[in-house]
Amino acid sequence: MNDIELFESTLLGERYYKVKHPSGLNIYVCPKEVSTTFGVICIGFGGSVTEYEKGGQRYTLPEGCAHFLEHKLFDNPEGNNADDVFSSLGAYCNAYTSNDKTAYLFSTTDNVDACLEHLVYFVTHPYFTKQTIDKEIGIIAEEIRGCIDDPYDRCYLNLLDGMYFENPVKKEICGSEQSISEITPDMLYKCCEHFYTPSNMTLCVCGKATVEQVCAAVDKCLDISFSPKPVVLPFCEPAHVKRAYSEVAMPVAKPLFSIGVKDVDVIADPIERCRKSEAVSILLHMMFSQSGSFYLDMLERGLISPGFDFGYSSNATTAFIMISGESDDPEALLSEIKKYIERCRKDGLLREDLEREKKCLYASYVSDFDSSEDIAFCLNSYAQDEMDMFLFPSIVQRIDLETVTDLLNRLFDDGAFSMSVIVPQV
Amino acid sequence: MEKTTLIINNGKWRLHAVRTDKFKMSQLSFNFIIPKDVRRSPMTKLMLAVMLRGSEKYPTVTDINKRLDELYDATVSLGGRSFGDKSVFTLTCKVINDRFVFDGDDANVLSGTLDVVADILNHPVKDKDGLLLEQYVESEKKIAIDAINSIVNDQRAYAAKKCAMKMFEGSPYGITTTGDVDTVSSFTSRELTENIEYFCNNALVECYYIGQESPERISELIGDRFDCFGASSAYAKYGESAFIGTRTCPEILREEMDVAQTRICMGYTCGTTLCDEDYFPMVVANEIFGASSVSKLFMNVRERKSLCYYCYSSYRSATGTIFVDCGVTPANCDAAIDEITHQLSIFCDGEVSDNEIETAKRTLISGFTQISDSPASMKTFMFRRLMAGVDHTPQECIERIRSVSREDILRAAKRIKLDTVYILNGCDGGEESCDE
Repeated sequence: MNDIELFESTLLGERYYKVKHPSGLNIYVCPKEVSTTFGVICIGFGGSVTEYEKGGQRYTLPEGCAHFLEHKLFDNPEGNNADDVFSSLGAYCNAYTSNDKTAYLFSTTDNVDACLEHLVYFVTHPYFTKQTIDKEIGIIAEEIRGCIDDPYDRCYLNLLDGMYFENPVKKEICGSEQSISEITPDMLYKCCEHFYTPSNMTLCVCGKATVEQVCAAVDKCLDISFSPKPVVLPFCEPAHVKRAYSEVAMPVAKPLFSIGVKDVDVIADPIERCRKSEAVSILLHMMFSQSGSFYLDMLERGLISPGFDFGYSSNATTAFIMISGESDDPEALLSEIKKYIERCRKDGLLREDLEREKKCLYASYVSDFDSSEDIAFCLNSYAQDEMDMFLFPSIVQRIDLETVTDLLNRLFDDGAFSMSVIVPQV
Repeated sequence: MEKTTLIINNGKWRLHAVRTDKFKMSQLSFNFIIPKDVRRSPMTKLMLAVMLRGSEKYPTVTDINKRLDELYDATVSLGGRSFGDKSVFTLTCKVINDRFVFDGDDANVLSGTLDVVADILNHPVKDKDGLLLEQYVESEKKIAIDAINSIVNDQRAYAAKKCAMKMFEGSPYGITTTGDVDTVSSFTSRELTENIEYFCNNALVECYYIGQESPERISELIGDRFDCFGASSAYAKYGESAFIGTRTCPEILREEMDVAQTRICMGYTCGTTLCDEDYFPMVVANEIFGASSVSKLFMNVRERKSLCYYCYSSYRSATGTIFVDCGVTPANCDAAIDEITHQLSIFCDGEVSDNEIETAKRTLISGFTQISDSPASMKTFMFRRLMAGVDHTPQECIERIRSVSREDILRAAKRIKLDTVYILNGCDGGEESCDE
């Protein structure tokens, strides 16, 4: 008997169910009257994991292992692959690997039951051989080469490397041509056995699907039982950055920059972490959005372009602010940003700016509920912390001027800044 | 997807509206259509970008955005596209539906957003001589030039652009709304200001609304706010014709860049646009050839030969062309081109299974079914057909796809002819040798 919990939002007119499956799998289902049904299985195994413990034993993996596994999980002993099966059902499927998770997804307008069953089945039934692994090395090597040539990707990775001494978030998700050549079928089977367990997975579905339908698919196709999650080894990260500045020359038209502000005050409690994350996001919008004086000033002085972007990333192990874009003079821009932060601290933040940005954040949240894909991803993102996604408006509503002012004063230490720049080749 | 068309703005514009409660956001777009011109098209895009920098009531970007943020993060965005011999500039407003505004807030979000758009179009900031502000013009020129130059940052997009430029060289199909650096550099504040009059007198305007309000209410909201526009699109008819290549054998263009991966883009003519009888067979043929991860290109160039990470074809129905692109290790460039060519050749010779045909049709039918889930897709679908002069509904498209036969597909595939190959050559050996 499944343990089912209902969550409702009268504000949005939406509801979803959370099911604790006996296997340990958490299932989230948001029934919605749309043509497109979207399903995603997320596994707590990403590109950052290269060392972990399971059953008292320590394991080491080559960089790029989680991503390689994501590619190879599509294969099956029949010689076709998951793409073929979904396509024959008229569905689309894809997968991606981030630094902390791997996700497999489908979208369909038909054959929902068969798609759900196949998603659960192929993710939990690995099939690897030496031949299929060798074949994939060429494909992933091309993906790696594409990443090497991508200046935005390079700028971001150099920033992470500049900010962190130990945090594995800086590891290359795809690995290198050298590291992926060390991957073997046994290694991938072991990763599946350890990480692809129901207690380390969530399944989120939105669209024309009932909670009973989704549970039936899981009951039918999930034949692995409960096993505790592996322990990813902890790391110790100082508050200051490893490097204040990194620079690489590539074929770009004008300099690209990513400015990082390291935040080692990572909060364990998910609700408190969410509250802080949204408060930092509001603070950044109050300071740097297109409705603010800083943006206009920098635009008119040619120090930024309309692609100027900023945001705050935070999860259970890592938190940082990133400000990025293109600039003729990134160092002058960084100096202006630091001066501006000082001015904001001295002059104080305005309540009217706070209220306006809260409205924007709320509207952006509401707009997510127009798409089954966005809802499934939103569910998935909250599911990682077992949080109710309908709590968001009340969390944002309670963010006050004191909270954002306190963050303005606590973040942005000089030693927490790192900048990565890609300059045009001469 | 029930569409209503009304004549609005004192008999001058058309409003194509779909009333639906399905979404929490609504979308209203103004599509301004002018004949393509190598100078006028990018000039108009720049002119609109300058107008979006400030109006009498909202003199700076900050003022405009503050007002839009107060309207629950309403957005007004500018886009430019080409359809055959026409350039289209779109101002798209996306707003939250009024039922979601905070308790006690009587904001009428769409009406407030239209006030901003009307002020931008009717009263852009001008100097004492009545010209668009020099400061905004120069700033937007720099932004536009930077955007043109920065395409080199994305080598896949760069290769695709270079291939299309070579293929359409000297033809109106090569004219874009972005323009080139020399053209954009030459625009003056006076020229842009004078273009406002041309724009208002000549642009045909087609409005699209997808949201909770009735078409009549939208017509009322637009009212006579845009009286300055003179041309009438009320009875306009559109259509398009395919690009006809003149080459007797494919042109191959190579360029070197200090990158690890070689990017290939192959431009084909197929002579079939959206208004042609063979449009649906061509859509299915392209799907089988290279549009999906079970296509001939993906299954052979990537999966069987492990030559690349991506290899796809895309059918551009407004020009009757197909572009294939792929990224490979420099040493595998010829092998990839040979395999792409081979796959098209055996396809034309009839090597296509019933399973490939059925899978392609199912995927396409799913795509047409999904249109009703997104206001942006609904607008794109309807406007695209208006430009081509046809009026299919998504359901009719599904029926037409179902009725495409094997013979239809092979007839379409045989029309796909290689015209131009563009190769952005990387350096062998990967990162290390490139860094030297």
